[in-house]
Amino acid sequence: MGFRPIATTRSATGVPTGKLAVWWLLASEVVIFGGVLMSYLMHRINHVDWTYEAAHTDVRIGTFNTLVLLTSSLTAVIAHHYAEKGDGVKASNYLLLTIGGAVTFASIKFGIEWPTEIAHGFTITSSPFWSFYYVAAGVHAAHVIVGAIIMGFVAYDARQGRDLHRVENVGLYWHFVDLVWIFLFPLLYIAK
Amino acid sequence: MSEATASPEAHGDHGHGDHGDDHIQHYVKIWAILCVLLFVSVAGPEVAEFMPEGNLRFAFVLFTAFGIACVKAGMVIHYFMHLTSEPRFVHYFLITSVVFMGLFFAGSAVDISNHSGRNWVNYSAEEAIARNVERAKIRDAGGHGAGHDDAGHGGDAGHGHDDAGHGDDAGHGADAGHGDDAGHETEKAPDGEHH
Repeated sequence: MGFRPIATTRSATGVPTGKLAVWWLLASEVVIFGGVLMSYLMHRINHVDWTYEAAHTDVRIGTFNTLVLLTSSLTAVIAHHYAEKGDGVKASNYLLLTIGGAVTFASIKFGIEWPTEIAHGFTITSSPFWSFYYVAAGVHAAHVIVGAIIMGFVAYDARQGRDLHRVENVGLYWHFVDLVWIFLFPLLYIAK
Repeated sequence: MSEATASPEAHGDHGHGDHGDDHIQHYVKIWAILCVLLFVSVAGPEVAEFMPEGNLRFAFVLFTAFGIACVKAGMVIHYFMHLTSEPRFVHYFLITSVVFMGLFFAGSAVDISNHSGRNWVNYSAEEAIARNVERAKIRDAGGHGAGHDDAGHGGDAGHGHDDAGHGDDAGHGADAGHGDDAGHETEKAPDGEHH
């Protein structure tokens, strides 16, 4: 462990530096996703034509994926719980379950949902609604994939009892990804 | 939200004791509540189908979709992210980015989401919407096959769908008559679709 960065154990703020960095990251993500969601919202309000397009999104798939993300948030917080107790193996196991959630989510989206919609002629260039749909859900899905990869590294280390504080950090990120979906879901699927 | 670990909730002590299972049960309970809320928000619009049209129904759908989303988000932030046990300045910079987002929204939403107001009408936006609705109806009536070579939106709506600057083109005789009948006048002037 010769190259552990010093900054992870030094903090003048009362918050461990790594965790503080994640909070800052999330603050910047608020603006990224907030910007997309808000501009979606402001177009949606007075564009009745978007309602016709939105009617074609699949609520069942959206609901199931929301359920998957909520459940993966639960396993992430349980992983954090075990990391706090110093049980790296259990923390790692629960992180693997969370990764399973991420994989399920992405598989449904890229394997079933999007291909079906594209086959019906709803592509990213079909209309402003579909552009927003693919961009917002796509950026979110990219976050899901990146989160799963990072969790893989953290889970690997945690299994060996290394850097358990990272379990909480990656968990924070994961809850945020869940949070974004909580808002995307009603905007893209429910509001018809 | 005072200093660190202000929350009286079960997660306050962060599992130093032997209450591990209690913690997990607590998390599972929160998850179950989140799932119930999810189904309520999905059922909302279905239930609304049986309600009479009107503001009440609109408010009901709005609440079940977005009100519940806000409650769910609050629960995730509070119980899963433990934001309440972070120092205040963390709250401050998170709130700052939310406030800025609201600021940008407030600054541009009036121009983007409205298509008419006092002494101005954005004809091009209204016409583009009408065209899109028409096309969606044709598409939905004629099966899904039709209407993709509508790279269309680029084609017709591309001209400033709803860009700002309606103030200027509003001048074309909308000074008194907003919207209703004024539409005809621009039809003669196709370049009303400029910016």
